[in-house]
Amino acid sequence: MTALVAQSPVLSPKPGITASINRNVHPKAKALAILNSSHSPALSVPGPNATAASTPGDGGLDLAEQMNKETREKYVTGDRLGEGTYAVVYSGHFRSDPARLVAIKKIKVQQEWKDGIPMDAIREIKFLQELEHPNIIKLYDVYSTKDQNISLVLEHLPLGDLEGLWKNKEISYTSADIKSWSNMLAQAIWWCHEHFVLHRDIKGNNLLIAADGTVKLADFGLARSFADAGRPMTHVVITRFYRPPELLYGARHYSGKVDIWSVGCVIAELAIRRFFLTGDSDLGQLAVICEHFGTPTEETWPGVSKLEYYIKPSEQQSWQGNGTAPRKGYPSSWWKAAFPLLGDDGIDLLRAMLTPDPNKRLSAKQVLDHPYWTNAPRPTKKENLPKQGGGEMKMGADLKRRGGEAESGRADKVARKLDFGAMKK
Amino acid sequence: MQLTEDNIYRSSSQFRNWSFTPAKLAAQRQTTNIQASERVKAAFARQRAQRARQPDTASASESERGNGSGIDTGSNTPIPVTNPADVNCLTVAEEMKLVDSFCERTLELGKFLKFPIEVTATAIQFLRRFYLVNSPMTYEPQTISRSTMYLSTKVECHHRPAADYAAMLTKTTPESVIAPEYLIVQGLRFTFDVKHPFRGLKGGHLELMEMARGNAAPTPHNTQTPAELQKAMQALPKKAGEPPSHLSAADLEKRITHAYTLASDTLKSVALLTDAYFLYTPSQIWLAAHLLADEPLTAFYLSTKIPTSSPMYPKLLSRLNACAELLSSHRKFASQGTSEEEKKAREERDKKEVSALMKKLKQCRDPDKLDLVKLNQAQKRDALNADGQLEESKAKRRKMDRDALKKEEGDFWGPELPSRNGEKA
Amino acid sequence: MSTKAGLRAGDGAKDGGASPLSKSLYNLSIQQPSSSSSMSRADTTSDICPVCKSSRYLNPNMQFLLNPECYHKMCESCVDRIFSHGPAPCPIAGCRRTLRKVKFRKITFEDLKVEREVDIRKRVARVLNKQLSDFETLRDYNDYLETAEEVTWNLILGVDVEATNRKLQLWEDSQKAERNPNAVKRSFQADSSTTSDGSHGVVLKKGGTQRKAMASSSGNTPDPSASLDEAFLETGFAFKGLKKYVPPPPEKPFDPYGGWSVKPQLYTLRGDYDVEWLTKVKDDPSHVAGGYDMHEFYSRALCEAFGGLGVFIDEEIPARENQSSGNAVIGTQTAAAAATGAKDVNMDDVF
Repeated sequence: MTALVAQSPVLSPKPGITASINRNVHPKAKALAILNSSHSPALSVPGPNATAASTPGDGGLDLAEQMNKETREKYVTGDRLGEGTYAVVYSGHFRSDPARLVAIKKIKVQQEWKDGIPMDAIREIKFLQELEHPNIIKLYDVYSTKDQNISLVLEHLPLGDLEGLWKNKEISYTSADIKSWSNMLAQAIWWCHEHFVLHRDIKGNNLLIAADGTVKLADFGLARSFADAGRPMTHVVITRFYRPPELLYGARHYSGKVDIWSVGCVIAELAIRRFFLTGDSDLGQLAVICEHFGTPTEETWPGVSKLEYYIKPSEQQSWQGNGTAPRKGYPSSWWKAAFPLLGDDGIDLLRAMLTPDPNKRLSAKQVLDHPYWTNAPRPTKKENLPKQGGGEMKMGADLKRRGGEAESGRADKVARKLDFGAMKK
Repeated sequence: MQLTEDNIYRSSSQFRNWSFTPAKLAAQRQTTNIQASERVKAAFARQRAQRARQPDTASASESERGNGSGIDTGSNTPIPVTNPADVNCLTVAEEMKLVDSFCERTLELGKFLKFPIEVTATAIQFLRRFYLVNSPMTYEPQTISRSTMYLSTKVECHHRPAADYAAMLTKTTPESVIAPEYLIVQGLRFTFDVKHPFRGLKGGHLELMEMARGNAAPTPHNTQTPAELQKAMQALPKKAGEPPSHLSAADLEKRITHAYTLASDTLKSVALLTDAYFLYTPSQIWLAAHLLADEPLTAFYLSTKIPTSSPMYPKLLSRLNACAELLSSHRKFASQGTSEEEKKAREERDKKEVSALMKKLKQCRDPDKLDLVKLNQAQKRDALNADGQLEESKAKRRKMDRDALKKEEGDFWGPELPSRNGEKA
Repeated sequence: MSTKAGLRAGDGAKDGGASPLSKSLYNLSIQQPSSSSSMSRADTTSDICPVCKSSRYLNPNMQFLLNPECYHKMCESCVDRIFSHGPAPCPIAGCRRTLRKVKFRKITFEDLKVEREVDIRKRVARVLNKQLSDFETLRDYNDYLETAEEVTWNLILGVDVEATNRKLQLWEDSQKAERNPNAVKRSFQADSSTTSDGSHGVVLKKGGTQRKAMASSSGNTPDPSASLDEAFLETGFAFKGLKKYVPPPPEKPFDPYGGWSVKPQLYTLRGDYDVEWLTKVKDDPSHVAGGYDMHEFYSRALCEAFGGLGVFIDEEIPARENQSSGNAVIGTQTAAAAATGAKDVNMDDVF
């Protein structure tokens, strides 16, 4: 703040019109206080630079621009961390506290895109503004820059994602760890559904890990709120490996159960440390699902044959390849063998989440009510979860600790303090 | 933490950012008006000075600008060089009147385009929110209203390409729809979720119907049996103060459905055109509309939720009545008391007032913001050139800012900060 | 706090050494090198197993082991040879202690005296592992450290070994009785790490002087449970100024919801609602097969019907603003408190 004060003469564009500045300070400051009081009490006293910059007329900022500027100046953008299809992510921190890190997601302006602000950005901002939960990425602020880029200031989640975790062969984890991660994920999705939001893109690499080990659901670019009865939704959502059969069959009226299928896939992935249902095309994905769970029929899934892209079992041989259709699905012995880390209750939960008929699939609340979570082993506390690429902090801790020194007592310290040199004399 | 339905609402951005007391709302509008007037006057003063220096080019460029917009605002007549002191700016009341009128036009537009009601309703709320921090003098409501509608189609999952949207409207290009988008989202403080009372009304209707059938679900404060409730409901007077009636079950259902229809009409028209969304919560709004439709029924329904003996009951009822008052005071509220002629006369009067205001608006438009398309393109093309001096000084300030920050933080933070930080802030 | 202990102890170092006790400690540390040096010289000059006399010079891989029972070292092959068939007496002349093979271990310190001292210290620290935060005052803690060090030196120098061991045992038992057997043992590390090298001895001196000084000027530290502790002090297994041990609260059963719950106050959701405009959708095969959940719609409609009904914007918004700007003016804080108080009352009324 002191820095800003010192600079304020530099930025006031025309020193000559200070009189009008003074006249304007009062109402604007007041308005700011009104509008900002809900979010950040710190802003109720606007910095001197802000008021000085908004001289009337001559390139001055109106109220909205000014608030936007205040927000923008709360953060400092740092290194570029990565680039996606529609956004660039930078590291950053609060100007007031350089130790408080943030990630700044800058939505790319696409000149050629004729429809204005991308839908992904709109959806992401819309839902993150409404959802606040420890297992959902926090949106601190949104601001736009002069060249009309929208930037999202998000929570800094430095420890990678769940997919990176199971892919990292140097990390070993236990069934309690899986339970802990899965529970955080289940809580996040329960929260979304409790607020009537469908995420529609749950997958390992949208589950980011905070510095303290908490799993946070991110990327709400495909989210939408529950559709009212009779309103169709698109079925082309959710990354293929995680897409439930009803979407593959082209359902346009679906529910939160679509997310539950994805959650089941992520938990399965964690347990077997590879992708679980991997189809090379939408049809192939259906084939894999049928192979694991059996081909859906009117008996196992009432009404399924009415879905747009439903394929009759008799016609399936052509694309299912070698198998004899319809498939029966794998027996429980297969599940036991494939998911030793989940235990019997875990497999029961997993299979209930991965039920092809969405009406029989568990809801988010039913998932959390499952005995798996409260049965032994107790989920690992987040601070004890294995972390990947822990950065300098963990490496430093590892280096400091030598093998066998776990039993730390005062004696160790004393021993080191003995002056051997003096004794030898 | 326990989540009650009230707490869920408290966490919404609508409550956090867009709920006001009447006094705050008025103060906010006053501030916006004062600031916009100052800007307009300053701009006129600058233009006058400029024109005095080079009379020909200035007026030419000014008229050119006006033509470019293609908007029927009369801006293609050259702006008269008025003495800034003589500029007749809009008052707060006049601004409100204008905005209200454009809300009505948006409603018409939504009907014309056959958009679902929540798209139109969100667009109207966007418009009202936008004009809390911006003045019609700065940004012309016609352009803005079309753009908010477009933004609303994105937010409410009813998105179509801008070109298609523009084609449905007269004198509108995709560019003119897109151009103010950034301004709007900035004015909306990047909150896109609008909580409407429509679904709440449906929920209340569902419950009322079940109660009428004697299937009332228990609530904490209700000791009556479902059958008793049904009986009491059938005996409700038709109007407050009238003797009790004795309706058959079928007639009662008819009565409830009728009340629902009336309330729904209120919500889909006047509720959107007033400040109700700023002053009350959606559940209060639908109950107020329901109260207008069928007072005894609504009061009875409320009493099954909150015991009449509780101090909460009269308090809530007073709020609902105040809200109902607000709704019914709107010109559009179709009450039985007014004759057709009276209505017509009112509409005429209103039309005249609005067109007079539009004329007045032409005289006090902020000359800097006439053509939003060009303004937008210019900003996109080159953020620095839009107003180079300010940007330059900003860049300079940021650099010094950064240096100061570095110095302040000393060696510890210094080297870790990337050299180009702050540029992106 | 612990750094403070170190600092203050450091101050004490200048005038330390005045008390008889610290003097004796000082003398001890003087004596120490002379006695150990002769022993270590013998060890280094003859890298030879005292039992089989084989030399490291001929057998570079030779490993020396010792048994903490008597701290006599011998080579690995001797241990194998003598103790493989069960317990046997120590082969070193004059030592008739019975040793077991499992107890033999590698030698960490060249100087076996040091090895032994480290072992003793480990053992004492296991029992006397209180931290500064466990004590009422810093002085009590220093007294405690003093006691711990006294016990340690008693064991090292073989003074009153039996009595000291009994004391240690008593402490250990009382501690065990206090905490349930599976209670987590607290690490001593955090505290002692801050007392830097060399200052540890000084802490002792300080503790000594201080205790001497303070003991005469009668208990000026208010001790709520003084009488109780006094009784224990007599028997010797309680420490002055030690705070009552509060066992950590038992771990709550795991909550899959992470502490959150959704509790609608004004409605109870029914399984189904029968209205005409929904029947069509309910029977629609694409809704049924696609998994469209009517229940989700009901719960949303009802939640939105009552969400915010008890939220009075005209009261809550000013209250919230008062709170957020409360740090500026104290007067508004009370107003805000009053406002929120009023709100709470309202909530109670409804629910």
